[in-house]
Amino acid sequence: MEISAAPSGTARSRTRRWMTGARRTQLFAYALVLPVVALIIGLVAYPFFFALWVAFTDRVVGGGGNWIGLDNFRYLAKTAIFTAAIRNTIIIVLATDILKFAIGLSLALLVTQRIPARGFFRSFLMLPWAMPAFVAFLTWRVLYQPIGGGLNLILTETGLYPHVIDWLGQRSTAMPSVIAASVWRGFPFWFISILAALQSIPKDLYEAARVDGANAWERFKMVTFPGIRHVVLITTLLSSIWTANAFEHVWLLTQGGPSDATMVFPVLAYFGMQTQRIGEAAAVSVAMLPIMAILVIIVTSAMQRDDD
Amino acid sequence: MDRKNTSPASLGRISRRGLLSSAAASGALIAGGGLLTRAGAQDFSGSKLTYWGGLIFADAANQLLVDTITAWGAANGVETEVVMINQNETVQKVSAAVEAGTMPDALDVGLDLLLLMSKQGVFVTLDDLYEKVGAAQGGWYEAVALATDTTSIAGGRTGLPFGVSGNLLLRRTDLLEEAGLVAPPETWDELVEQAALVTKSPVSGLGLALSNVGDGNVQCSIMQSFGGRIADDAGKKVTIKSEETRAYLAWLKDAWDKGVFPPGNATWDGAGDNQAYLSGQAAFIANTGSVGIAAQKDDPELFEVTGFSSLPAGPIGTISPITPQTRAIPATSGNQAAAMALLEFLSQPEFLSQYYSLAIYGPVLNDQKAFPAFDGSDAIHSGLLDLVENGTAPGWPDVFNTAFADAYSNFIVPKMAQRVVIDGWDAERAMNEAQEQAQAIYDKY
Amino acid sequence: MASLELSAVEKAYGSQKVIHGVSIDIADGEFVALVGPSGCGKSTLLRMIAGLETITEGDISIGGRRVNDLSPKDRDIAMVFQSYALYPHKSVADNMGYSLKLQRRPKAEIAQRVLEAAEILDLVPLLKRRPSQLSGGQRQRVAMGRAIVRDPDVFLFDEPLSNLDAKLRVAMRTEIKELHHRLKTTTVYVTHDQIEAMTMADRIVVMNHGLVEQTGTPLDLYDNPVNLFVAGFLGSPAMNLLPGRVVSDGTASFDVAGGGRIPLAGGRLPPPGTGQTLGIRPEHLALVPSDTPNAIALRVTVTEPTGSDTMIAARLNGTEIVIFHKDRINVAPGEELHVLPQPDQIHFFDPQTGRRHT
Repeated sequence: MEISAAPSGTARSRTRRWMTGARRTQLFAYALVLPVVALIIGLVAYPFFFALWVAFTDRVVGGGGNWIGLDNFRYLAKTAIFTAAIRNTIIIVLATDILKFAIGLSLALLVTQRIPARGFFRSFLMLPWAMPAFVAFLTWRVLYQPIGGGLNLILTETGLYPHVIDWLGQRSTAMPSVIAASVWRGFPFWFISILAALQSIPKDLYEAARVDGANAWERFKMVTFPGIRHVVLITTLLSSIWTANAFEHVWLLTQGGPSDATMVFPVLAYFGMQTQRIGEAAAVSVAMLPIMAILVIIVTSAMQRDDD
Repeated sequence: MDRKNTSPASLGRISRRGLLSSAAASGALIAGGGLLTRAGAQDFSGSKLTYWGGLIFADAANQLLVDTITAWGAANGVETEVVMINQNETVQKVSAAVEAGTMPDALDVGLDLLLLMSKQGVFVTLDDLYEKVGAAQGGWYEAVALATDTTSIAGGRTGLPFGVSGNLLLRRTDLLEEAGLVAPPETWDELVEQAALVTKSPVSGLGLALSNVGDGNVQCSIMQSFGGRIADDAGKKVTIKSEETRAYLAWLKDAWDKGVFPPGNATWDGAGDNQAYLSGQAAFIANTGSVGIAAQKDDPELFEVTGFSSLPAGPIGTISPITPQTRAIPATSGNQAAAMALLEFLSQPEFLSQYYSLAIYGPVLNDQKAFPAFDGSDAIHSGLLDLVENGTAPGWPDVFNTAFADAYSNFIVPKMAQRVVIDGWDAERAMNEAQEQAQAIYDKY
Repeated sequence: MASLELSAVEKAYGSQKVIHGVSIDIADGEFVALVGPSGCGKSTLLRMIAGLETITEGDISIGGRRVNDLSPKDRDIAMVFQSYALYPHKSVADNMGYSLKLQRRPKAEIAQRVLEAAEILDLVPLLKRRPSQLSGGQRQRVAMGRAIVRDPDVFLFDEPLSNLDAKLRVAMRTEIKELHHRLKTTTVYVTHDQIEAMTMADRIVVMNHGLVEQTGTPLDLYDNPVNLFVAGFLGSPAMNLLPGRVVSDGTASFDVAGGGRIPLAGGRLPPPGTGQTLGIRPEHLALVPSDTPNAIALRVTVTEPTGSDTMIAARLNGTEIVIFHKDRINVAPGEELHVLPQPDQIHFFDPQTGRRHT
């Protein structure tokens, strides 16, 4: 290619000037990051925004979908089961968080003492979390069975309680049963997180507190709890989001029943899919977002306060 | 209990005998010749065809279908791929395939899904084929013809019926005989009485599901047999709240208080009632016959003491809906000619006669009555034939429009039932809620 | 303020004995440094005084009161930890006032006492800050402030300056000493740094392997170490320790094992013929002209001028000797140098027992 005797402002020389070493490194960096960004956009951002959009349309499977504004939400608000889903989701999240925290903390405190077979307990206590979710919950379902289920067998055979209890089929026991199974499954995450946080607290803080005159409870308030607070906040956030989004624990045990006693958002969305009305189903999922957002804001602002 | 089957989504456990017999059958079909390529017909050799079959409880029937299609493909030079899908998962799989544009060339599809999808124009019309097959085999059963008419929503017929399922009442004749009962119950009230007589731990008389699954919708039929209606004759205004519905709810409450329902039936999944019966915990269930087949295979003793009858009647009569199964061709198929030919092939009596004896469907064409499967020697098949001849169209007396299908898949009636027995609501309140919810659904259409 | 008595105190972990019978009497208001190499047991001893470790044998008494079975808070002691151990999520004021808060003191009293301590330690502008916002030196002062607020009978310091840089260490040493002058609280100060001990303490307790080697005033230990360990431990640069033997053929002198001879000008000498270790501090070797009688010739290997003085490493035949010259000097490696030891500063130690000949 001829290079004409032109002044220095030719395109090629301009490009050469622009592509300095620093720029080359920058472009290379972008190129390396590009695949991941593409993945995130494709697998996370796009489905998210698409679902968000669909929630405001009347789309059905195979059909287009015209914008209908808030009609889906208005319809949902009229269904009794929607309000039940809101209530139940909040109850499950709160109850499981509190119980998992209590159990996780107690076990973590226990394991940091010099009890025999510490290492064994540490791994053993992780098992409920390590097994596949559906195995865990199907097993619980069998345990809860009225006829021949483990729990009822224990109650009746040992004479603790003479009658069979339909754990999953009665409104009064359905939610507690789901909560119990969910807590059993999820406490190891809390346990291991709190344990790690506990072990990072410097020992001499406890000694300083002892010298200052603090008893065990005061030491807990002054040293232990503040030391794990950050981790507890993050764990709460993650666990709440996971529990609110969890499908299998309710589905495998009660499918949201009996009646609407244990109906939660993910199960409701699934049922919505069965009617093929994608717009409504998406609206159910989107309806969860404000609640999740509030939760995230509360926790992150609590964490922020910590840092100041 | 789901109408079709409860086995896992896999082909497995094909008995050797079943394999040989179905291979022999398809071989015979092919050897019979004359059914494959016809002179002057379109030649689609070298093409590909994907078929989604509905997996039912009878392995032998599933295998026969697979083998027959494969053999047809081989004889016609078409590369076939047959995928058997658990019918509890069809809705999800089809929805996903429609959205992703990966629908097969032809598939088995139940009535509700056919209606919903046809409205979206997912399937092609096949009126010519429908007429042809009907003319060749004595005409379609009226109930079947009416139920599968998609002309108003899709401009033509989109589904080619091939079998009918519905619910029969199964009962433990041994337990009932012990209580001095021999004849099957004629009415729902009689059913509760008989169930109460044999309810003694661990047996509960009445294994009807009250949960939010397909089986729970039997409650809708019961309600209708008491005269209750989801909507009016125009299919627009919801009429759940009525004296007739109140009567139904009273019957239900009474049955519940008598303790005839097995514990946990308000949270059963699709297999709950099957499991209850097969494990001896229920004396009565409503089922298509898959339980019968399971018993026949795995628990012959139980099969011996199982009696089949039609569903009991309510004050205004028997509501025993039939559910036609159809085959359809997606509009996105690239090989519609081959698919049409295959569908026609699968409607031939040679295949269907064999298939019916292995499956749990009732006939769809008048001439099929004469098949050996329905000669009366098998209680299940006789029951299915009876169902086709005397059963009611799906949704009848309600109009089975898309609003009805929506309300149906929202489990309006089972939820109302749960309100009464689980939450202890009085009938008034439960009906009000069901009325409101259903109207909200109907208003969408 | 109170006296502190350790009486035959022992500590064992299972069958492993780490402190073998330590007895120390500390008078009311005294500043005693526990000094020794790592692992000698000084920190363990301190923690036993605090009540953070159990006492296996022996007694510890504070103000005449036996405290073996009392918990830390009942012993009226305050401790300053090596890593400060400040409560990270509380302000400086809250950190300092925590012990009083536990005692349910009225808020006004707590604020008052915290302010007083803060004024002493120059912490007033920092009262509202969190530990993470403070420098190392500031944190150390807060830790001390926390101890001061309690107004205890005994202060216990566990190597408080180890985590600070050299310059800050020097400044803090002075501050701690000033503090002690002002408050006059009995103080036990653990350190591995002998300079800290020398400069700050009224008395020093040198420990090694769980035993007390020597107790005494700093200068006492410096001038009259009872054994090789104490002699080599205190003083920087360390005392020159030369193995050899005393010989007496006319005049007394010392044959260094590595070669060379050091004339001895009288004074109390150990019996000639036996093996001895001769000890002389680097600053007690005077540089003299080469023609001085009895001068020892050395060859310079390294010189380290510090600006105000010079440390010279030299060789006497095979043995290295360190000289500390309190002035500048222009001498290069390889050159010959002559030194004369101060006769009354020569010590002799038995190589087997380590004890000094008196």
